[in-house]
Amino acid sequence: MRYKPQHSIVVGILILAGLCLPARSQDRPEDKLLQEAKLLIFDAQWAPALDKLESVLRQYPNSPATPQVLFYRAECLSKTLGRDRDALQAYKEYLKTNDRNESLVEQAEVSIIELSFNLYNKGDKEAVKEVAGRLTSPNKAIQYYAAYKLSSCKDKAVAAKSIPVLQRIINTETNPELTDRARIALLRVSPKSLENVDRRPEDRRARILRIRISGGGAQKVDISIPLALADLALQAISEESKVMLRKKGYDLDRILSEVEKAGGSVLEIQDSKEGTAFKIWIEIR
Amino acid sequence: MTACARNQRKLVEYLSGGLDPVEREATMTHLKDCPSCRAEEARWMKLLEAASAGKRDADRATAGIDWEGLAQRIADAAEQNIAGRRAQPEHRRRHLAWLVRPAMAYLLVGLFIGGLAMWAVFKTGVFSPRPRTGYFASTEFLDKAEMELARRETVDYLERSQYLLLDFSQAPANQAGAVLSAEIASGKAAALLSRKKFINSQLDKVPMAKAREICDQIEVLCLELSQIGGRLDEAQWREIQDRVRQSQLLLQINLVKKELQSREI
Repeated sequence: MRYKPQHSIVVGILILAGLCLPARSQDRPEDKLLQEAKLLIFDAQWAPALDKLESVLRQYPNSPATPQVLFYRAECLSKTLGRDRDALQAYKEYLKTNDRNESLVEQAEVSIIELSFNLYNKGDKEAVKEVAGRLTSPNKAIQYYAAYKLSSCKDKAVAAKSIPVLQRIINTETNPELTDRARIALLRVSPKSLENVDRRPEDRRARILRIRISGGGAQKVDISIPLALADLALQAISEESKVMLRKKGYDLDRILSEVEKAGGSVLEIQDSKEGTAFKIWIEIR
Repeated sequence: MTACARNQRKLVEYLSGGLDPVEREATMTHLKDCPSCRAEEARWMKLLEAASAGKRDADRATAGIDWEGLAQRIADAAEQNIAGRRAQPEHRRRHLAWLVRPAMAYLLVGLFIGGLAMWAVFKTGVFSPRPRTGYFASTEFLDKAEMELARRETVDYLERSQYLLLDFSQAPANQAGAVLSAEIASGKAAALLSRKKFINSQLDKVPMAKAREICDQIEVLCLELSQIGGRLDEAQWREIQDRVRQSQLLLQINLVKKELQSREI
């Protein structure tokens, strides 16, 4: 096995976590086996960890540790090639135990979304119901995750189910990472729905960032996106364009401040040697 | 019919020796008296002489032919010819015959559909495009934007994990402090777990491969920490602190984080 220096701390924490369990549980052999399985999981040794957990389930079927054993068994199955359906079933078994550990419950729900979406992509059309069904989960993290996943669905009718949740994220959340992700997802599914959300309440107009990059006689980039995604869009341009901007002394902050200063007019940065032209401006519609 | 005409008809039989003696005698008598029939007799004689010379040449030419062997050779050659035609030319001819007629039909159908398509394209005004309005971006661009978002979130996730580990490295003043710190760490770990879900898809992609392993390990660690609650006593706390100091996890996090940050404009 490959030596990983960071393991020492994790091993320590995991063992201490085990010691921190209530005194009566320290005498239980299944808890010791569970801790051993967790260490194997940390080392990504899914097969031996799975064996250990299944042996705990066989030997101690009614142990208080059973919910955790079921959860980690599902984790192992989800990492084992070709066992997506078994893993899905295993997570559902864990959720039936009504374990009160919120982190594990949330993790299990998210894994069900992930596994179901994978099965859907492999042709199981029914599997998408598991994802769509979680759009109404009382847990926001689960609800949002289901919406993001659905938005990447190739079937536009299925992807459209995510629109209300994505719009709600933009309207109600303050975390820019959540809202940016929702904006990108809406751009994929329904740019029109994003326009409606992004309009300013005072004049019902939206500020739109336009970027055009051309070079070699062809248009390489032509986008029209919410201004809120400006910095993300500028980071997402090609390496070639980034190099040109750096050569011309532009960084992200300078571009954005100059675009703001330019108002409605176009900020144009050209590299005559490479024949590249970078145009950026803001439209208000 | 005149006597000459009648005798000229019998002349060929006379010359080939086919007449009976009476008729032969009568024909000879007539030839003596009739100059035109004698001239006719002379022409026939020449013709028959030429024919018999051709026969002699043909006999000479065919004298060296092995007629029995020739028959066998002709039969063999015919069989080879048939076999050859079966192997290729026949097949090709049949194949082409199968192909040519449907190909012509498809060509006609294609021309018809192509004409309709061209009409539809021109009607929609593709060649005189109106400026696009509203939001739009290519899928490729959105993928890159999402990857960029994941890069930032991973940097943030690693930073927060660092803070969480640093919390462990700072000694709480007493038992109450240890319990409080453990509770805070547990809460932070749960928050980190929530963040990790959104970057999982992008972590699977090549540019994020280095971050994947370390992020997964932090996730397992956070799962455990989120379950600890306030159950650590002071001695256990110090044990973890020692391990944090000895480990290189913080260094690993820093290295991956710096690499991800270097990709900015």
